[in-house]
Amino acid sequence: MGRIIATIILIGGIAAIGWVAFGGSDETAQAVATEAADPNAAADAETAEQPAPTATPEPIEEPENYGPRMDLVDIDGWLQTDATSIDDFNGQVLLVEMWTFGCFNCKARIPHNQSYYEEFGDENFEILGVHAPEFSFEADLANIEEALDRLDVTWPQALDMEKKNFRAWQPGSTNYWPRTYVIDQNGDIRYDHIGEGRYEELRETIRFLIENPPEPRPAT
Amino acid sequence: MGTFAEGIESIRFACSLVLLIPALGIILLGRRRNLLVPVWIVTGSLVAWLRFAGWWDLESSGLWHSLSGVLLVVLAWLAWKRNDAIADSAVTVLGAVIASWTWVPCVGRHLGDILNAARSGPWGQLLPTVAFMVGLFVPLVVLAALDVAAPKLAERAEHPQVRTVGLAIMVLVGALVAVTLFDDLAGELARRSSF
Repeated sequence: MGRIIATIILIGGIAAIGWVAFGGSDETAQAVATEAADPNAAADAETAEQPAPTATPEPIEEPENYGPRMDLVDIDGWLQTDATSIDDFNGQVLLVEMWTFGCFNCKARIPHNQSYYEEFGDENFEILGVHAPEFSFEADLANIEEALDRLDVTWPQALDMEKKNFRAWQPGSTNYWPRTYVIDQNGDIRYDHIGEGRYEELRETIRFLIENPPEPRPAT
Repeated sequence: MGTFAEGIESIRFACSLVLLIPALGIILLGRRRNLLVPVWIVTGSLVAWLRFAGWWDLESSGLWHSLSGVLLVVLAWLAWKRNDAIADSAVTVLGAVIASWTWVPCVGRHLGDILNAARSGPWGQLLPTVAFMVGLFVPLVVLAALDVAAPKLAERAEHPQVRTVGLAIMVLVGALVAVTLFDDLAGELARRSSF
C-alpha cells in the first residue's frame, strides 16, 4: 500500500514539475518560459497583455495614508537623473521601487512601470528605482548599467549597494524584492505592496493622487 | 493551486538557492528521506511564515546566526557518523531553520498575496505558505517517494560516497553561515547561471 501511495506521489510530483515547466500553470509560467528564450520578448509580451487604460476610470476610494516616507541615506550613486536626494522629488507623486536587476519578479514589474511612465510621465509623476543588489554581481556598476539599458529602464535610479535603505524601509527581517511604494506630494506613503501584481490598483492610486493632490502641509 | 505552481516555478530563481542548496545536502546526507523531507518542509514553512507574519524578527546575521552555522556543522557530522533518526532529524530541522531564516525571496503574485495579507491576518496565510514551500521542494518530495516506490534505488543513494557529498555540502553551508558568507555563495552560483 505504501509503495502504491509513494508511486502516486512520485508520478504526481513529476507531472506537476512538467506541467509548470511547460507553461501550463498561469501567465507567470508562460512569461518564465518566454524569458528563457528571450528576456526582452517576455517583457514585450507582458506589455502587450496589459489592459489599455480606460478613458473614464471608475473613481477609487482615497488611498490609505501610511505616514511619512523615510529618507534615502548613504546612496552610492544616482543614475539617469540629476537628483542627489529623494528630497529632490518632493511635491511629485513618486513611485519608489526597491528592486535588483537579477530578480525575475522585479523584471516582471518593469513593463507595468513603463506603462505608468507613458501614461503619467507628462504629469506631476516620477518613478525612482532603488537598486538594492541581492548578489555581488548585481552590485557591479557596469552590470547595472548594462541591465538598465537591456531592460529599457529609463527612470532615475538610486544605488543602494549595501542595502541600508532597502532594510531601513522594510524594518525587521521582512525585506523583499520587489517592494513598491507610492509617495504623495506631501511625502506620505499612500501605497505599499510586496511582489508582483495589483497593477491596476497601483495605476488608479497614481491617478487619484495626481487628480486629487492632498492639502499641502503648513510649513513648520 | 497557483501558489503551489509558483513554488515550483521558484525553483529556477537564484533567490531560492539559499533554500535549495542545504536541501540538496540533507537529501544526500540523510537516510529516512520519507521522514526528513516532511520535517524539512514543515520546519522551513513555519519559519518562513513566522517571518512573513512579523513574529520572527531576528536578523540573519550576527552572533546567533554564526553560532547556528557552527552547530549545523557539528550536527551534520553527527548525522553522517551515526545512523539514527534523532541525528538525522536534528540536522534537518536546524538546516531548514537556517535556510528559511536566511532566505530573501523574490516575490511573485501569489507569494506577494501571502506576504501582503500576512501582515494583517497571519493565520490565514499559514496553509498558503506551506503550499508554496511544497511546490518549491517538490523535487525533494519526488525523491522521498522514490525511496519507498523503488527501495533498491534508495539503497544506492545511501552509498557512503553520496552521503559524504551530502556532508560536504552541509559543512560548507554551516561554515559559510558561520562566517556570514552563505549569501555570497548563492550569489556566485546565481552569477554563473545567469551569464
